[in-house]
Parts: sequence; C-alpha cells; structure tokens
Amino acid sequence: METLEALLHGFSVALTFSNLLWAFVGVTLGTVVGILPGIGPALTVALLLPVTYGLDPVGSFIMFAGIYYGGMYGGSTTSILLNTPGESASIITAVEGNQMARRGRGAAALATAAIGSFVAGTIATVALTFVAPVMVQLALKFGPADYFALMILAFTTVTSVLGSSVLRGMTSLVFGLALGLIGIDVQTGQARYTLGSLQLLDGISVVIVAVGLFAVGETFYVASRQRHGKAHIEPIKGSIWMNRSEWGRSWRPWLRGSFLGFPFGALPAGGAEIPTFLSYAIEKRLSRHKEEFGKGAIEGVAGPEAANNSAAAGVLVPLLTLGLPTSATAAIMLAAFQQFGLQPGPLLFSREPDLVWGLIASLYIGNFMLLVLNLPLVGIWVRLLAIPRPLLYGGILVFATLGTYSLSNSVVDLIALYVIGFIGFLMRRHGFPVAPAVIGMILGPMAEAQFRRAMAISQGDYSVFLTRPLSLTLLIIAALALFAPPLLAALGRRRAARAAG
Amino acid sequence: MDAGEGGAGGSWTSRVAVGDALLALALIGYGAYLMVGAGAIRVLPVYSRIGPRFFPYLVAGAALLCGVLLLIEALRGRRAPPEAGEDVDLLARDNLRPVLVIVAGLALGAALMEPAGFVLAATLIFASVALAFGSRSIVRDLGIGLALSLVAYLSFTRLLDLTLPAGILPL
Repeated sequence: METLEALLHGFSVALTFSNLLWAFVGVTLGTVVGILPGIGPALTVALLLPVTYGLDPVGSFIMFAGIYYGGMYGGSTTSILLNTPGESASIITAVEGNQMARRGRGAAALATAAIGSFVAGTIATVALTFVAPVMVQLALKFGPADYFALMILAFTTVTSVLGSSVLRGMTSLVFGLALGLIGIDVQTGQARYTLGSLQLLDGISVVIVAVGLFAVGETFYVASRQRHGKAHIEPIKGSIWMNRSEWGRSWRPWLRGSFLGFPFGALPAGGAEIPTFLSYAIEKRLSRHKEEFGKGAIEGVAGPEAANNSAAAGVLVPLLTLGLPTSATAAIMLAAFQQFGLQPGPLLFSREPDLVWGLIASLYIGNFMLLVLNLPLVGIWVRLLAIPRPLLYGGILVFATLGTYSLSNSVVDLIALYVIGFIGFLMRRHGFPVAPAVIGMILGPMAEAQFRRAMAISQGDYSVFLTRPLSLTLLIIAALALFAPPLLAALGRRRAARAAG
Repeated sequence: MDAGEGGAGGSWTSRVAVGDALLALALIGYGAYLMVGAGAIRVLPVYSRIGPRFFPYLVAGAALLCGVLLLIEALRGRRAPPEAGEDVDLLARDNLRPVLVIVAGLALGAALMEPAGFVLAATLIFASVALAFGSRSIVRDLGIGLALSLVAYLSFTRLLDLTLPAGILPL
C-alpha cells in the first residue's frame, strides 16, 4: 500500500541519529516544560520555538512534535500530583487522579495516565497515518470558497466552545483578526494599519502574540492574584507497576478514550475539553465501580487521559492536510511551518514527503520515548513541581524576552510583546478567552485571501458560497455551532419553567 | 467549568461593572480607529470590487458591534468569571501593585537590552518578577537571574547560532 510505503520511508528519515536526537530533546523539553505549573501546551510550544530556529526543517519539526506530545504528558503529571489544576482539559484528570494520589495510589494514577497516553498516542498516530492521505485527496477538491467556509466554521466553533460567553469569545477573535490585518495586504501590496512604521510592514509575528498573551499575560495575571501558601504536592505512593485489577479496569477506557478523542481533535471543534468530559461521563456510566467516581476511580483517569492525547494527535490531521489549525497550539505550529517558508496542505505532502512522513514516523518514536521518560523517571520530574513561583515566572519572562528578541533582534518587538501581554492580562481578568485571539490572528489573513480568491473566480458573485455543496454544508454547520447552544439553553430553561410551574 | 454553554455566560449581577465598561469603551475606540484606518488604505482602481478595504471594514464593524454589546452587558452588571489557573487564587482580591513592578522591570529591561546587553537586561527582568511575586532576597534573585540569563545567552548564541546583544559585557 502506498501509505505504508510512505510511512516506511518516513521511518528511514526519522531513525537517523540526529533526528532521533532531536526527537529525544523535544520530548524531554516538552515534558519538563509541560510539568511546570502555569505553562500549558500552547505556551510550551511558543516558548520553545526559538530553540528550533537554527535547525533544518525536518529536525526542527521532529523536535516540535516531540515538544507537543511531551507537553501533554507533562501536563497530566501536574494535574495528578498538584491539587490546583489549571488547564481545562486537565481538570478532569485532576478530579480523579488527585483523589487517587491522596489515597496513596498516586503511582497507579501516573502509570495509567502515562500508559493510556502511550496507547492513545499510538492509536491516534496510526489513525493519522491512514486518514491523512484520504484527507489530502479530499482537500484537493476544496476550492477557495470551501476553504473560506471551513475557516468560518473554525471561527464559530472556537468562539462558542471556549470560554463562558460567546460574545467574549467573539471579541477575542475579532481582536486577533484586527492584529492579523496589520501589515501589507498580500493581494494588492498596500500597507494597512502600519502607522508609517517600516517595522510593522511585515505585520506582527504570531509568536509575539502567542508568547505575549500566554506567557506575559499569564504572569501578570498570576502576579495580581497570588496564592499564598504553597500548593500541596501529593507524594507519589504505591507501585508504578499497576496491579491486575488496575490494568483490567484501565484498558477499555484507554481504547474508548483513544477512539473518542481523535475525531474531536481532528474536527474544528476547538480543543480537547469536549472529548475529555465526554470520556469521563462515558466511563462513569459504564463503570462497575460507580461509587468510586469522585474519590479516585482509575477509569476516570485512564479514559480522559487517553482522550486528551488522542485529540492532540487528531489536531495534526487538519493542520498537516489542510493547513487549518484547530487549537491555539496548532496555530503556533502553523506559524512555525510558515517561518520555514512551508505551507501545510496537500501540496506539502507531495513536495516534501520526507518532512511530512518523517514527522509522522517520529511521532511513534516520540510516544515510545515519552513512555520511558514518564514512567520510571517521574520521580525526578516531580521535583519540578516544587519550584518556587517567583523563580518560575521570572524564568518564563526571561525566555519570553529571549524568544521574542531573537526573532528579528528588535526592541520594538519586545515592546509589542509586553503591550500584548498587558492586554492578555486584562483579558484574563475580565473573562475573555485568549485562544480565539491567536487563532483569529493566524486564520484571519488566510480566510481573507480565500474569500477574495473565491470572489475573483466567481466575478463578484457572492452566492458562490451557497451554491457549492461543500461550502454550503460547512456554513450550515457553522451556523448550527453558533446558534444551537444558546437556543438549546433557552429551550431547556423554558421546559424547566414549565415543569416547575 | 463551562464546556459548551453559549450565551448564558455572565454570572454575578450586581452594580455596574466598571472595569468591563471601560474595556468595552476602549474596544469601541479601537473599532473606530480600525474604521478610520480602513479608509486610509490606498485602493487602486483595478481592485475596486473586493479590495484591501473590505475585510478591514468588516473587522472594524465587528469590533464596534462587540464593543457596544459588551458595554450594554457591563452597564447591566453582568460579568464573566475571571480565568482559573494552577497558581491563581480566585478568592483573593486582585492586586495591581505586583503587576506594576513587573511592568517597570520590563520597561527597564527593554530600554537596557541593546546598550547593556541581553544578560544584564534579562537579570533585571528576572529580579523584578521575583520581587513582584513576593521574594524578599533581592541579592539571591539577582544572582539566580544572572546565572540563568548567562546560561541562556551562551546556549542560544554558541550552541544554536542565534545572535543576542552582548552590550557592555565581554561575551
């Protein structure tokens, strides 16, 4: 089969000494940074981006993928052992995992999370291997109008799923779109919003926006609401090697979680929260030990963790085959591709098979490395959780500064970073989700280009978006995503009022 | 934790949310700026259909709309809950003084970056953040900051071939 051949070729690329080294460095860095509290996967990738600048594209992306997967593994360790989870997708793991840790079964929780992540990561990567070429064939049928509709779908799902208020999600998105407008309009060469500055002609880098909103903004915000007294770290007790009943209760949730997470990650559905919550609900339903849920049920860790990692791999499908990022982390990786002058999409598969298949092959390898790193060596990483916060955040800002300055050796970039960081602080303070801004910023220019191309081809006929079946379908789904939740909520309220009255 | 709820967002209905209202006004101002800026974009006659002004006008309009809706929400006293995090204590009152300390540190750092070099600027930034987070031992923080910045500088310039300003240090 063509796909298997391509994959084998990819392995031949991934198994070279230097690429293995990059994979190892990537997963280690990803795990370490992922464990550090306060740093989610998007920020992990953004902060470590400068490390990849000097490398060749293949090595750089292999490292990147390692960082991405490693960040997910590291994050689970934190949510199990620390009783104050941050990342929304990790909250579920924290509920059961932390309870398990408190009852002296922390090691089993870590084990089930790590092995589940490995199983899910591998299954999802296999799915990626076979789905990607199919998606590429489909993508070739996409015209500009369809791409535009797809991006509108991504916009609506990102704003209506993340955060507590659609209006605030929209506002965040609009802010991102506005930032994306700064610079030269590609189609006509005209300057937009550059305020006469030569620097701004190139626009603002996504890296600056991501690092600003995530790193600097987070630091300001945590500084304003500091936790006094140390967060309690559960000591790891029990054996890492799970006993029979623990294995027995874990393996089905691992599989269910893997199959649940992948499609959600692959669809523009805004992230890993939905599959992890769904997995938790399903495991609770199906469990023979329902009474343990809330007090440390191992299924509640196994399933959601698998779903989480599987969704993370799923995100790579639209990213690599369509060039469509479906999460803030993916948006940053897209920016990284663009920095190298590469545009993910169907063309990438045919022009750079070494890169794409080498990347996919190294995902398998990276997953395996992560299992080894996270299971036996977890005791070492745990010490990182105790890092004093003043030093942690100091370090974060030093690296944020370094990463931003090294983009183009410009102090103006630093000022932009800090200003955007302050805006990120305000956003967090007033309940505006930050991820839509990053996605808006990177997808905005792409959406505009596709829209104008579609209009140029149709000679100014707006109905082209509704007459093409693919475009129409996507727009209908987008409308549903936007209007269905509030409608359903309103219907629910009316039903409840009728039942009560 | 809301995972899929649309519009039913804001919680505490109390007095006018001043901070939110100010933000909404700022957004309206930004929308106006975007609108004016869109008009300033040069349009060549060839592209008079969907030209470089189309999207800017669209985004400007969206910004104004969001600003107005947010202002209405703020005046009604509807707020959205601030973000949760591993190190965030949501019950604590929010305290702007540490934020200002960090801002000062960053401003100084940016100013000193090129004249004094990365290592010194980064040390300053590190120490100001540590101070903002309640660390009392300034000397120790400066020491750790210096060590960290030096290691970062050396690994990025020697190992990864990037350039960072050396400033006044003989690096």
